[in-house]
Amino acid sequence: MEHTSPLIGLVPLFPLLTAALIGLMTLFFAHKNQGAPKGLVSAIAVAGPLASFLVSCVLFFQLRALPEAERALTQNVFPWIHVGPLKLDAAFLLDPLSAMMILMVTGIGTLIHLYSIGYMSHDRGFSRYFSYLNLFMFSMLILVLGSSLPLMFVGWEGVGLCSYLLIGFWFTDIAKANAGNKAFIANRVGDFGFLLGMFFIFFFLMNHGTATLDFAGMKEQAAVFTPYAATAAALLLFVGAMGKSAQFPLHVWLADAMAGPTPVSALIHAATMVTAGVYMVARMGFLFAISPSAGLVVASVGAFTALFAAFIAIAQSDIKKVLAYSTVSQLGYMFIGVGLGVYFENIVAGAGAAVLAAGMFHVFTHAFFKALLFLGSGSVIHACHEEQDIWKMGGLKSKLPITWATMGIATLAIAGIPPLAGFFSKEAILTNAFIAGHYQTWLLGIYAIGLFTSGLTAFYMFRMFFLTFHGKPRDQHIHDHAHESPAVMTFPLLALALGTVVVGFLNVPKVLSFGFLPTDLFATWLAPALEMGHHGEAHLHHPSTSTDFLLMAAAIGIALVGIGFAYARYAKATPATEPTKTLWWEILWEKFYVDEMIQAIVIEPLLKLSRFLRKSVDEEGLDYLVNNTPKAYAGLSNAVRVIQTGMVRSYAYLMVLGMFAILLYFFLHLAK
Amino acid sequence: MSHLLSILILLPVMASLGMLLIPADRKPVIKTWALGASLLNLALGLGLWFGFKPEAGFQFAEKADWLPSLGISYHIGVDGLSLLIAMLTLILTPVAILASWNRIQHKLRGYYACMLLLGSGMLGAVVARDLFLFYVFWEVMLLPMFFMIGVWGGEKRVFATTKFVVYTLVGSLLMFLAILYVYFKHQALNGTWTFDIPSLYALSYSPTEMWLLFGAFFLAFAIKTPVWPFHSWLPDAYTQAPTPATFMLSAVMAKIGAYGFLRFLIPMFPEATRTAAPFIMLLGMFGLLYGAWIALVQTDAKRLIAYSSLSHMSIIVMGIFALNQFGITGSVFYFMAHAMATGALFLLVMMLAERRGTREIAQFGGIAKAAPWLTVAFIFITMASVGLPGLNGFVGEFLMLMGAYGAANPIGVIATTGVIWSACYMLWLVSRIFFGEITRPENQGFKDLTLREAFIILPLAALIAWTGFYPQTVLSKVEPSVQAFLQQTGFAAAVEAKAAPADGESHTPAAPAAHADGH
Repeated sequence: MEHTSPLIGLVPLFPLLTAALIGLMTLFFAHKNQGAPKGLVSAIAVAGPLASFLVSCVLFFQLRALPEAERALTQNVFPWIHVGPLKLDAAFLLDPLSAMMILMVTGIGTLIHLYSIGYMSHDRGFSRYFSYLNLFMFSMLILVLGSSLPLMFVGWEGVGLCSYLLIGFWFTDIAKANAGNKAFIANRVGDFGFLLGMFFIFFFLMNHGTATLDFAGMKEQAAVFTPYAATAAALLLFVGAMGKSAQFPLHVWLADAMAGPTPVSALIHAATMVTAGVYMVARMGFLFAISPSAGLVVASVGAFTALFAAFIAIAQSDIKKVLAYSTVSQLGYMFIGVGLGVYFENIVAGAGAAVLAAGMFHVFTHAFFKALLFLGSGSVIHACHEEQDIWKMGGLKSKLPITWATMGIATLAIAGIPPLAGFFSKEAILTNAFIAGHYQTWLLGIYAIGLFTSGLTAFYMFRMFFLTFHGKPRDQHIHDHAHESPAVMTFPLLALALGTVVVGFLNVPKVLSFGFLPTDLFATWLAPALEMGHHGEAHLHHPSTSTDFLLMAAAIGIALVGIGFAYARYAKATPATEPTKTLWWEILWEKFYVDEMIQAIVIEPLLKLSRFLRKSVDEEGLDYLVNNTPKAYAGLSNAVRVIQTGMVRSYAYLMVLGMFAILLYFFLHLAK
Repeated sequence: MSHLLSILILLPVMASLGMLLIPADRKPVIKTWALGASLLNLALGLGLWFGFKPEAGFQFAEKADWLPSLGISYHIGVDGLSLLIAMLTLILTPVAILASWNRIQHKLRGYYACMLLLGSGMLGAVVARDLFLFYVFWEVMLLPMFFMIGVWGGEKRVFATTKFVVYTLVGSLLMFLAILYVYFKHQALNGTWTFDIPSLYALSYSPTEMWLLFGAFFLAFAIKTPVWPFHSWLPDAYTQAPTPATFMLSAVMAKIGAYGFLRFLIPMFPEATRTAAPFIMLLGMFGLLYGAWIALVQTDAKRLIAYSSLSHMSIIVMGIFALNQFGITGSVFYFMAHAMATGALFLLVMMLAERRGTREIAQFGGIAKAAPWLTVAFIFITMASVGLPGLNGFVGEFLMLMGAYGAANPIGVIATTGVIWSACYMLWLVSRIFFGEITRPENQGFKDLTLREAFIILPLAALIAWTGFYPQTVLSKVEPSVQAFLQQTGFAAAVEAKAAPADGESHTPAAPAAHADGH
């Protein structure tokens, strides 16, 4: 039974309209050499995502009213690309997974738009900023709601464009503009994989089933895929996910992306866009689950990236860089979550959906506390007059009480302290990794990495927190002028802090219900969308209740250790600079030299090759040959001439003459 | 019988003759006359677009005996393969004229006459249904281009135009020999003299004959398109030509080379095509990388766009010789997409160069601050050029790469890396020209788009956005002709055999054909 809803299209439509409206206003006023009226722009800018959010809420209830097995609303707007068996429509799919995503994107998006009104109020590019930000909302919603891989790809590249425009928002700074380039190009490397994944699936299905790239159609035919084909397709798509979600080695763009305005970092480079890769793996879970190895690759890349980025974050001194690497690291956790989900589905059919949901839950909770962290850092940066170096801050607690309190909640949440949101979602992933060890012992390694990384996370996050807010001010001038942000900025902070406190309870594990808390709401909601072709109860090995509590104790314990270290090193006696600087610190500070390696291994050789092609092959090779052919010819016929207009004529004559000779030959030859 | 096509071909000829009556010093009148004529032609041409019926094969056909004893006739008509190029000619001629407005300062009558005649020549070449007639138009369109580069071009214009003409002439004269050979061969086989194109399709040849003829036709079209390594006329001609001429050259004339593969080479020599296609795809793939990589290290903006054009035309060649509906439909669609994006880029570079008197990229920097509209236009077109989904470049690229992947996986995989390279050279170009602080005093007060310039870019941008958002406008007119082409050349079989089990409901043998025709 297929249900349709004409409302779905409105969700991306509103931000598109407001983006276009603000864009036109911007250009119009740029022509008159002034800024568009800020009040009007603000109102329109917030109205777009807010309207989308309201429609999303209506859609959520529409969806919930349907029986669980039928929870999918579709809307086919118009035929997009129809070529033979390739039938792509501009069509939307709203199922529990995309419903959760649009609520998250529009809800948090609205708050961040609101915050931006305050944050960007003194910027000359005020209206330009909002036209980009609304365009981003549109693209992100297309990405989430698209009912086929290519339509998802439209949003996928669309958010890449907006990311590019917003990273390079202050384009007069060439370094910032180039950070935008870097983001776009690194994403393009991922998109290369995404495209090939689509081609592969399409032709595979064309040869072995019905050619389609619709999610529903592909899922129906999941049985057609051989494990080998599923592995190839899944890994190609995963390359795309790695680009968008900044997994090693395509993570290099995300730290540079912090060049954009801070609310952009919150919305695009933390809460929503960068989780698109995780969303894609969950969406294509049925395919990944057919492959015995794809899930393990996803989880392993995630685990490696989580640890790798956490190490880098330890040594950074730019508040946004710390947060950026923490985002990379948390994205790694999400990939562990969804990777294990599809892996479990592969070994125990029907067991994967709940595990996949745990990965998506981390996407959901992370959106709250990471958006909060970035907005909080924005508030700090705003207060400190664009200073981002935590070594120049210190003692800001008294100056920025709301920012301090809300950021404190978020820092505790990301460190995994109960009962905040991050605790529940990270704990679920770690527990799943522990269970995975039961099936393949080496997977305990992923658990160990996850556990260790959560200690590191607690350490570097509280390092940032203490250095910013506690101890004595290290730059008196900055401290003296610091002031709390206006209400339009603190309201979103408070709203997100509230979210950070409560959303964790949406997915309480059974062991923590204490007899009255509703359990697994989130996973139950997502189940119809995430189940990968096998209904029925999961029969995963599950640890005993006491083991469960031990696991939790371990995670909380290591987080407390991390916090303790940070406290001892950075809060107790405020150091003026990093207490010890060693070679190791240097390597972390330089981010393991990945950028330098890419420069040396990929970019320099490519440019060398290009210069060689240009000079030796094109100019001195092919072109030389062509330019000198007439010379050689002229030399032969003793009519030495340099290239002149006369040549055309003489050549034409010669050719016509020759032609007639051959013509005569044809005639005599063929007329026989 | 409608005479629309003939009118569209003849009107610019008449207009250019009429221009001789205008005194040479009445410059505004000359320009307005030319623009008016091209706009009138476009207005009439809309009838072609809206009157075109996707499923009806050749339309707007006209046939009259020309030299009946030799089997030469004036036979024209348009189908889905030629419709887009015909429309491009009509749409882009006024754009090119508008772009020439201030750029051309001397010998206006000659210049605008050339521009109008160029349109007639190109339109004639794509609608010709008679091989002899085609050849006449094919050479006719070379002449105005020869003069435009040679008289109104840059410093090295004489060298460039000579190289361009001699190079293309070598190819086309060889093709002319091949045409005559085919003509005689048909007479020898069937006893009638005819240049009627469909009659000359797929004659039986000895292997030697086949390969020599295939080679001659291939060379002519490969030079025009151009296919690597026959491209070395391109950087010189593209850079030395006055930019409106470069615009027409890259936007339309290059497409006629690619169109030649579809209309003549493949249907005339399907057997040779089958063998040669993988190798030609390889040339395309190589040209794609080669053009993109050289574009990476260009210091001259116009030359950079010229190499990017080579790179994009190479994808078209690859898509065509994938010989499946995705590749070919994508290529035909991309005729238009590439014309708009690359054409607009050439024009935007011209606008930059006119303000500074140089095309050296290093001479710019920080322009965005001074010229926001120009920047927005440039970035928009850049995004179209790098194939951002939602704009029309993506639709073509997606289909062509998909077609290439379907025909030969490794080629498709390597070619798909093109999405990375194009982003590299275009974004680096954008940031070097537009971003950063203004460092050179000459760039202070850089003038933004004028109204006239906005009117040059706006129609292109609107079409790019519309045909990217709703590509079915175009695809629905192209696709049936591509299906017919594949059926008639015998390349549909392979595609259908694969598509057949696709139809879940019907298992009858007739299903594939029905499936392919309509949906």
